[in-house]
Amino acid sequence: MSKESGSRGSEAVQATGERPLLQVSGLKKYFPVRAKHLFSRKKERIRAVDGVSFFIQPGETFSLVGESGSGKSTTARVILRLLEPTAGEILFEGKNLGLLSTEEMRLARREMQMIFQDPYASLNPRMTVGEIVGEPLAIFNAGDSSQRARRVSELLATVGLASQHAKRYPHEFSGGQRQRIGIARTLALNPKLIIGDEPVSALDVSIQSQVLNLMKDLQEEFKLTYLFISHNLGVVEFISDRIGVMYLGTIVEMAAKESLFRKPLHPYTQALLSAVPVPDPSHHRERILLPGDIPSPSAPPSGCRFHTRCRDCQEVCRREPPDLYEAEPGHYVACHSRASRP
Amino acid sequence: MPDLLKSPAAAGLTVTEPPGPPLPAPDAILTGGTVSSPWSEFWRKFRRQKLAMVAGAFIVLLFIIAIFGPVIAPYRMDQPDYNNMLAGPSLQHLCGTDEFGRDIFSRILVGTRISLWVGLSSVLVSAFFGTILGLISGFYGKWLDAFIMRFSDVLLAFPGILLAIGIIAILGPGLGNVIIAVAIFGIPIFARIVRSSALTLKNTVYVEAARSVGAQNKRLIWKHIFPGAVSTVIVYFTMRIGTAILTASSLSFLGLGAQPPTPEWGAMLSSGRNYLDQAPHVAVFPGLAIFLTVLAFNLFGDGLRDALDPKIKS
Repeated sequence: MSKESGSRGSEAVQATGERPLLQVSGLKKYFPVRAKHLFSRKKERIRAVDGVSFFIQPGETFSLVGESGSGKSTTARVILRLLEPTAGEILFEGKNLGLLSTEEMRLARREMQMIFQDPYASLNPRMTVGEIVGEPLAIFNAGDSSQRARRVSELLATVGLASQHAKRYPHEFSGGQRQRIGIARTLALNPKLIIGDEPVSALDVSIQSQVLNLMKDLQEEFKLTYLFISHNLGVVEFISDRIGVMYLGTIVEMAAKESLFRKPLHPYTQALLSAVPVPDPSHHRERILLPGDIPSPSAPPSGCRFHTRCRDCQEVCRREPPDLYEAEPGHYVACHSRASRP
Repeated sequence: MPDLLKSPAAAGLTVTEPPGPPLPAPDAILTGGTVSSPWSEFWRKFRRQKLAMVAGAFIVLLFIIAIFGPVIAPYRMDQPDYNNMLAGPSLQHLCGTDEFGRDIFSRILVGTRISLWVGLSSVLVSAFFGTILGLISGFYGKWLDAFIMRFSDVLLAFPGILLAIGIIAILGPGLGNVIIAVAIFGIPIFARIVRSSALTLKNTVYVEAARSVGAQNKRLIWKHIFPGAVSTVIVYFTMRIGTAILTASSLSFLGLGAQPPTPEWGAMLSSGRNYLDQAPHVAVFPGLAIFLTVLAFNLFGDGLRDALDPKIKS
């Protein structure tokens, strides 16, 4: 798969000690864009994910945060190979997913499941809840139909629904309940890794906490590992152990939650954190406003991708893309201005 | 894969107490406790469409006539009465008699079976092949899609009746060949509508979700995409029956389909044409039978479409 050379800085981001459950190195996903003019030969590519590297240890929750268009969801889909990666390596328990055949990958998906953002769109409206939750079991021929039915009621109970709900259709449930159904489906095959693609952003705030608590409880109960994708820093702070901040297809900073929230190193992270509301009226904090919009991923800025909106922008930032380097133990950042300061 | 079924309870974990805050009692949120299946939902919507209900009743009547036609007919359909040729409608002969003195009403009753058989069987064949081609085309895309769709375009470029005449010219006249001709003509229409449904459905999140839990293409197509396309297929199926009956009658009218003395409505209309001046009823009654049947299937199809359309909320 590594048609293009491994991305800059990808070697730096390797887990030490224990073998990580998931190790992603130099992951790239480019989407070809059809030419605007009939005779135009110029091929445009949207660089949705452009050299992303991170690792996730067993049992931890790793979050990817960033604004819309930063490539978070694409990263998730490429890991599950719902989209084929353009370049890079995905190691799951040391197994290179990129080298698996379609059929081998299908079997490997038993170990890694995904919770989708929109609980209204991710459940087939023509199937009963029982069929939806039991589908993974049916696909892999686990047990006979009565065993499956028993497992479905068990799964529904696990996520806080009743077994008689199995006969109903998704439209009879609220958003939060539907997301519970989606979670029950992901648990059916006892996976090791669950990827949550903004699993709570479509829900009411009051329901969000219920679902997040459920996810935390399940993690403890079943020793799950989460890759959690969100644009909501509050949610991320609640659920994560480690966090990666994405901007225009690259990870600009990655650290343990406490370290990142206490001492953000990248100017983008600092701006993001300054926007988190604090429930204290007497608290006054400098709000860092980013000028302009996120640039188009089809023509990303030269050098550091953030330089067009950065308040610390220097000459070198326009020329050279910064490497992700370990500024403090376990705290990675990709920024020239940090690099110049020891 | 027995380990997949290993329950959390078996692993010594308790499942009796669901984690997370307790939910409100299920039936407090959900409607009344009755399970509302898609069928009852459909029936509730369909019942309100009076015209479609009448059309549906008429279609049921047609099927009864198709089954029992020869039994309930007052005369034998090929029984001539040379003393009573081209007689107008009367109490003895409700629709009058034709040029051989045969009872037109009886012939129409017997002919119902032919028309329904031609309509149903040809559309069934169209829908079967059209749906499969449409699913393949929409789901796999690329060159398969291009190939199937260009082929459909070629078929659709012919006016329907011309294509049917062309096919009959190759296969020879006769009712069986009419069915084949009408069926071939309908395949691209089904292929197109199913393809467009498949294109929409294959990009839904729930199809992606099914793929992410490990569903194979076969399962995605038959469990997730086909059920979504089936309501459109049913609607077009009903509507096409009307068109198919009309096309088949037209072919018989032109002498390419059913041959005399078969009481096919189109063929009856054709022979009645010669006596339009003296005895218009010979052509009018078979024509009326075709008209009412086609109209009933179209109205019924309209009603089905409205009842199956999830966007029309009642």
